[in-house]
Amino acid sequence: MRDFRLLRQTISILVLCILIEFCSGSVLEGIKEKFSLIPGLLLMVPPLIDLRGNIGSALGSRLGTGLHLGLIAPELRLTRTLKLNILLSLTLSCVASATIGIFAYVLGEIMHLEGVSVFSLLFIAVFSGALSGVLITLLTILLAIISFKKNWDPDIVTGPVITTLGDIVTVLMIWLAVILW
Amino acid sequence: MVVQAKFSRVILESYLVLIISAILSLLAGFLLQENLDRILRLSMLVALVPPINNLGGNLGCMVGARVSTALHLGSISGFRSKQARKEFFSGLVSGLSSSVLVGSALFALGFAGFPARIVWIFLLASVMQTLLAVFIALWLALMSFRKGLDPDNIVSPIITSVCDVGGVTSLFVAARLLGF
Repeated sequence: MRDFRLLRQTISILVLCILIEFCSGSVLEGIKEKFSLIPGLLLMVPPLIDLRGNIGSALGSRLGTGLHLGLIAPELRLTRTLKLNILLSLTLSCVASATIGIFAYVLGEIMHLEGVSVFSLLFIAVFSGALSGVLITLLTILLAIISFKKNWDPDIVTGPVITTLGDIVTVLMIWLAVILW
Repeated sequence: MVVQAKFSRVILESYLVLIISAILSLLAGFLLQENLDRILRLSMLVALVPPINNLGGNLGCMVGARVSTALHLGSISGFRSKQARKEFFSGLVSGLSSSVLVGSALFALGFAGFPARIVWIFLLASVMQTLLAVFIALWLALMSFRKGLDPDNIVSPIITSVCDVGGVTSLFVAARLLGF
């Protein structure tokens, strides 16, 4: 019976995420037009999108372990463990995004792209990283705790849902950063 | 878990893994760019790249997260343990049945005019992708735990990047095998 529940949860989440991915792909396609305005920006879009999903799903995986071990109580209260986890993923969001911004700049220079500016790439990477980091971190915590309460395994729910939603949130935040720049 | 390990250590461990995975995903982008003309010839293949990468990455994340929890709980010991086998096979079954579901949905809807051959390519490629994702996720979780690292921080970043490379590759191999 438990095996059956495991399969049912896994399959429904996987199919849901693939279907969202099909739809979001076409939405993002439209926004991406604006990205070619800033040289070198397209270079850092895939790694930034991946980064968001990775930080989110690592957080989700840690929360899943914590909830199963009983180290985190399944309630929305700011405990010390939860604070540390939030601080960790926000720090990682900013530092790793900045690193990717610099990587993209160096790569752009190597590829002889015209008019690559390290400041614009850094600003866009860190701004979008910090903002989507806050959103995704909150969402991950909500998802992990709510799914655990509803008897769904957070190890199954958080990773896929966060990576899929992270794609959309990150592209929207990069878009916002480009508009502000 | 962050509670038990030192904060600075977790930061360093995660940072390194994230950067490795960012470099891998840059590589996947290059792979795609390099083969662009071949992909364009089979223009329908492009539409299959995001869902197949998504499938592999997500499946790998789930297996990784579940095995990490089991490792921390002490209910999985090694590759040959009963629990590890159960995770492996349930991962395979869910990956395969999800891709069959998505494949038949594509087939039924005629999504964007998908011809039947594209659906077969998708199915064959997702068999390869599923095997790759489940196997590597399980291996990574067990290995990193054995080396004293926290698999919660290691598996999901690495597996999503590996599956980005694996998805594109298995689509090519499947297309080649089916005579495109």
